[in-house]
Amino acid sequence: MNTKAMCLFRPAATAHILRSAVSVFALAVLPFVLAGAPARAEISQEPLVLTAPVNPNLILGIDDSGSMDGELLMPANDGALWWHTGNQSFADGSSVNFNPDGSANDTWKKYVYLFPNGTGLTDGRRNYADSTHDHYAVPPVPAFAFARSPEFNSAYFNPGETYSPWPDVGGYTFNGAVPASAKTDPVYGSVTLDLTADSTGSDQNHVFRMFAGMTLPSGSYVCIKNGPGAACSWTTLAADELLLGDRWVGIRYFPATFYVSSGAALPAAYESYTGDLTPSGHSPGAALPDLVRYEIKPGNFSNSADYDTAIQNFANWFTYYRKRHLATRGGIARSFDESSRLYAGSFRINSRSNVSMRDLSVESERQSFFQEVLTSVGSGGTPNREALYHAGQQYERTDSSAPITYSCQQNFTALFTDGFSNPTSGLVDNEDGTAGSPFEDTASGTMADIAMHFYQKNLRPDLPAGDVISQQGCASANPDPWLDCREDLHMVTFGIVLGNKGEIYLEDEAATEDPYSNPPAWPLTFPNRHPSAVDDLWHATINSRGDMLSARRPSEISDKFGSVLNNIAGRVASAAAVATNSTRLGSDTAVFQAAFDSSNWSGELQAFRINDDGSVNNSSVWAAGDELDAISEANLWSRNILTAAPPAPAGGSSLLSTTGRDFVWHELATSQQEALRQQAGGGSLVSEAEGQARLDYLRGSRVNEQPGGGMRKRDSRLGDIVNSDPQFIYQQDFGYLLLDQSAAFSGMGVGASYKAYRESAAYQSRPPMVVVGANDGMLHGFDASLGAAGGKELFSFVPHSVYDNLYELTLPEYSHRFYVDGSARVADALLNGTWRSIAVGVAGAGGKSVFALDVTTPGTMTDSDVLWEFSHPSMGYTMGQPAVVPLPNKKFGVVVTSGYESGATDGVIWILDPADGSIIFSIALPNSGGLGAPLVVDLDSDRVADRIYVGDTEGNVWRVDLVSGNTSSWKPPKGLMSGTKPVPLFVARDAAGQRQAITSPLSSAFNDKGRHALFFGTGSFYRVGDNLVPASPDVDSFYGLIDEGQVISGRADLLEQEILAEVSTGGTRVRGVTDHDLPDGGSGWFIDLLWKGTYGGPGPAGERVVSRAAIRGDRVIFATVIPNPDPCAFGGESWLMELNTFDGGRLDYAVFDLNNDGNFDENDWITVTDENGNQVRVPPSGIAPDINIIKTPAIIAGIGENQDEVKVMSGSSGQLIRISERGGVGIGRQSWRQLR
Amino acid sequence: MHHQHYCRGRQDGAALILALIFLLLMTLLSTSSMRTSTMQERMSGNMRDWNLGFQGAEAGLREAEQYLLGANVLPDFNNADGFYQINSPERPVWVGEETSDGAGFINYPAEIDGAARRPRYYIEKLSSIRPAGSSTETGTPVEEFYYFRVTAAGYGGATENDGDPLTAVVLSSVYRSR
Repeated sequence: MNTKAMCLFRPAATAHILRSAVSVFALAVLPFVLAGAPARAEISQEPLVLTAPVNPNLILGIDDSGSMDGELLMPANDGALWWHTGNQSFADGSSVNFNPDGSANDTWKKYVYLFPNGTGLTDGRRNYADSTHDHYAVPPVPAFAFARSPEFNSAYFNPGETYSPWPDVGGYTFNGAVPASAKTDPVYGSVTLDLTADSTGSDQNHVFRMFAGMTLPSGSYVCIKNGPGAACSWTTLAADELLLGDRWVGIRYFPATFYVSSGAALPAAYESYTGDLTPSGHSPGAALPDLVRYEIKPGNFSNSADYDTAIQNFANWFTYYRKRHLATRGGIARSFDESSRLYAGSFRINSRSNVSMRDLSVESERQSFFQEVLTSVGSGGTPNREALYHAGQQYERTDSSAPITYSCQQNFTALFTDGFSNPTSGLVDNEDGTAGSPFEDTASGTMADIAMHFYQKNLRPDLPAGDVISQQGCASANPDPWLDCREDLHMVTFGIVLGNKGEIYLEDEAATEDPYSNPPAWPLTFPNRHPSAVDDLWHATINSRGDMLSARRPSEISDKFGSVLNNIAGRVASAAAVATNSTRLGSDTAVFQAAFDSSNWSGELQAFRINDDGSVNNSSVWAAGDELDAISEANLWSRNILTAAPPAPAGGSSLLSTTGRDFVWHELATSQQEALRQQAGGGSLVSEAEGQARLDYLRGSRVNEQPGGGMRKRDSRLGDIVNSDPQFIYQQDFGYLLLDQSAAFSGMGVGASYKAYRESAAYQSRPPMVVVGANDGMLHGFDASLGAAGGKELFSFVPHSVYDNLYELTLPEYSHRFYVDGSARVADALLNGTWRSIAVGVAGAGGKSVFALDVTTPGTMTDSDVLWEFSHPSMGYTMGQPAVVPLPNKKFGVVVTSGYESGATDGVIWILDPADGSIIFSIALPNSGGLGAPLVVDLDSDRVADRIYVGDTEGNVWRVDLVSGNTSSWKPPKGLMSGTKPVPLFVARDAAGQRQAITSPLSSAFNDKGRHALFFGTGSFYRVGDNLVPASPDVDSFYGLIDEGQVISGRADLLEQEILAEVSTGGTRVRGVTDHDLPDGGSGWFIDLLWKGTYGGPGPAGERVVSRAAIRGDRVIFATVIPNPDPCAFGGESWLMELNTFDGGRLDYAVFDLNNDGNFDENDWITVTDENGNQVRVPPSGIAPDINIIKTPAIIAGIGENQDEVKVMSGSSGQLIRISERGGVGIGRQSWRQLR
Repeated sequence: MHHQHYCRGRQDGAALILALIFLLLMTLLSTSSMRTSTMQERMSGNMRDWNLGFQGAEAGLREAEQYLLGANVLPDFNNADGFYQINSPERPVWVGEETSDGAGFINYPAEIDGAARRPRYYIEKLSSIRPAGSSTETGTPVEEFYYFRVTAAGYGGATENDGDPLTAVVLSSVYRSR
């Protein structure tokens, strides 16, 4: 959406029209404009649990009527210039003649061209020959200078515009036009015009048609003919020659000429213009010259570079924008050049054949679509009513290639027309007769009626009704009348016209701005090619809750039309894992749940107490969003919001900032201020005052929110929290007392000093805290106590890496994107010999950086507590949680990976100094996929890091050993090196050998044989389309690998366990799993996440694991995700699996109390058919929580006298639920001996 | 043919080794039973004192184990006052020539009738002995460890000249609390 362009056109735009226009179309236009050119399967910028993966349909009806060939766009009938033979003038007073009849005849002579170049549309020439009464070229004489001025002919070259060649689509490559031989059509023919030299033509259809009353001025070099085929000779006129009859005149003219009013502002290239600025041309009806002529000739510019710029711009206009159909074809191509999430098809309004919808995400189909668009020329009338009706009928098709393929699909028709239509009737009745104001009228069969017909009708009764997502705001009691609240399949109409006015549209300013408050008196009669047709088209867009886009200049089309609606249902959901303040039940045990509301993209973080019986208390103790919203406008300054100065080049090509700033305007760097002053779709910066207002908005100010102001209305100051798992920190023991017993740190006394740190008054008195990233651009720290201070914001931090997109948050047409969406790490660490508590955050899909804050005293942080922000050219979107660990070289390190979409072939693991962000160590992993979160393990129980493991999206599991105090010896073990290059420990592949992405964080533990084992599931749920389950989904798996430092060659070396059955017992769905024994020397186990057909199951369902597994002794616990197979439904479901840690099989005891008798015993077992066909009773190994999609639950132990556990999890439906489970098995005395 | 011959030869050797092992085992068993009976004769005079100490030490163990089972929040094992990291040099030493109470212990909450001193104990967190299936990740708050070594001393009634108990029995258990 181009608010600026729209405001230009509607200068007095009110908040109301902003609502109507912006809410409907801005939403429509933005996603594509802002999203940029997406690569295939790019990272989704919306929560996948909510977005419908169904792309909308858009049918383009392209006006291929003869009038689209015109090179004039005058405020007159058909956009033409009309010569009145009686008045012998183009003008009526100071306006051009309108010609209300609309027809050319003996009285009215119609002019539509400026550059007569013969005929032959597909040769790049004119569509029309000079006829008896019409399709003439306007003579290049000073009296008609206005036809060559953008101030009067809005199709003409405007020196203030920059004209670019068409985008390279449809298999074409479009270069800058060559001024000395500018093509007359970019794709048709080979005809050129030399724009740098005088043009002379006297052949038929190369001459200018002149009538009695026109004057050829003295000095003209002309060749006057009495008939089209007559001969003539060139001569220079010595005096003005008033023509007394019809003439066919060759006139020498310089093509690169334009006229503007005297004193008009011109761009910088014309500052060195030295030509004569005495007015020499006439505006319509002017007796004296009042227009200045500019001829783009080398001799008229003192600076040759300025000349080159000017003539190139003119040449580009000439080749790519000169005609209405040129501007339309190129404008459509440019509009959809960056779109991929769309099914688009086009038809020409004069050849209304079946439309083939093209999936713009498929390259070959894109080619076909653009090919069609770029070659859309034709001739004939302008049957817009038939065209719109045809589009509606297309959506009603039920054949195998019908445009509508899903019951929730949104369907749009955009009519690109010059608007001067030929009305027919009888297609529909008066469909809007009782629709109320401003929709209704008494006319039948109009464009408005057709649009209403297909808006109200269920286009596909054969598909389920009521599945289409209505617009945000429809849920309210009295939805605004301009909202599209239809939930049955329907068609929304947009009109894109070339700046023509109706009798009301753009004439009645109040009605144009707000037709809802000022309902237009809709026209009831519609003469041919009459402006009333424009009003009717406008009426049609209102009836179907679309919008009218009037591109005053044809080049505005691409600005005006960028995309179609991509609605996200407004609903409350949760996608992050819950945090808990204790792993054991106590009186103050609570869980912290993050959630978001997609209707206005607000977020919430709430604390819920856990009752004595392990249940979750229904009412929250506090809600951080409410606390933020309770701050008065005057007190907003007191929010402690910090940021970092822009990173600068540092060692190892890293970009590092170690300077903290307050998030206030005068502390920001100029580049940061300018980032806040950006406009959607580029363009010049908004004023500094507007930039400051935006910063105030980001700090929480609501004074500029709609409807009082122009910025996006928020439900809460707290932005949506989607994928950032809240992190709780209080006085947890990181075990660093043990460092004194480690080889690395021995003798340094750091263990003792850690003990002293934890006993210090500051540590003891600091509040408990939850740290979470939100998509309001900030990492937040909230007081996590359960008293009065609970939920209050302690600090926030805006990382530099999100600045470039911050301004979008303030736009009413905001389309969701991620800002600070990664999970932070909050940990104790030794910084330059001093113990501190630090928070290390990542932006997730919102940015490419990692940043560290000193949160030792979270309530009194200052800019000096911003430790650093680090980025690197090899760093992608850091979606994995960083680690903060003690290293064998006596230092602490922040371990972070290069993440996703880094653009580099090799992924990188960096270890950074937590004190200053400098690189301690880095290692490249050759040809890796996107790297997930690092897992850093300690094998000898001294807390010092011994190994780093990381998985990637290509299924590789990498291992790097940190073996001594010398970082140069840190590398994979010998068995995982090929020469000097690391090789993966394992590559996850399915049964067919296809790589399985690892996006979940890894877990590790020693197994029952004392061998080190890794646990992870595979699958991807972060990219666009990951929530769409294809017909034959890939199979993902869960692995338990035993790491012996040698390559595990594949699943053949692993024990397979299988899901035997899914059964429903007492309303709960549970799973039974095999219990094969791991053979001695086995390299581990795996289980494919499907109920195979061989066991009576449905086969692959798209089940995957994207969250971390919890290892609890002999139990490995993980949550799976199965997106809903119906693309029109949201979310999906999950299984909570609990398997034997050591062999992946079922446990031999019940962990779920299926019969709810409080006991975990054989009464909770299920009967399944085992792999040998025998009926067996087994404990269930998985349970379906039925709250949509879950992440790994928080586990709280110590419930009741049996020390049972409760698992608390947050579903994507927004609910918190708990599952009671059997506590640890085998409590008691393990061994006994007498020492004396 | 050659393969079969080779196998038969191996079997002959194994039978010989097995016979030798059985002989060794039987010798060990008989020696051990002789020693036990000799010791029992020597200890009979101190039996009551020893039994009192043993019961006290066992009471100390059970007291500590009940505490570990019931406590929702355990104190930091800060190498003092009865709570120690495993094998901490500061822990009490109650076995051997040079005994010490280290950086402190916990007294049994009640007197034992006839005993010269209350039982006492200390608890060590078994963080260095990771039970199977506990996470090896570092840089995170330490997982609640559920394994502890409890060491308890119980005392007999007889005392030395300085009033210290003559007989001390020290027991140790490894306990899992969750």
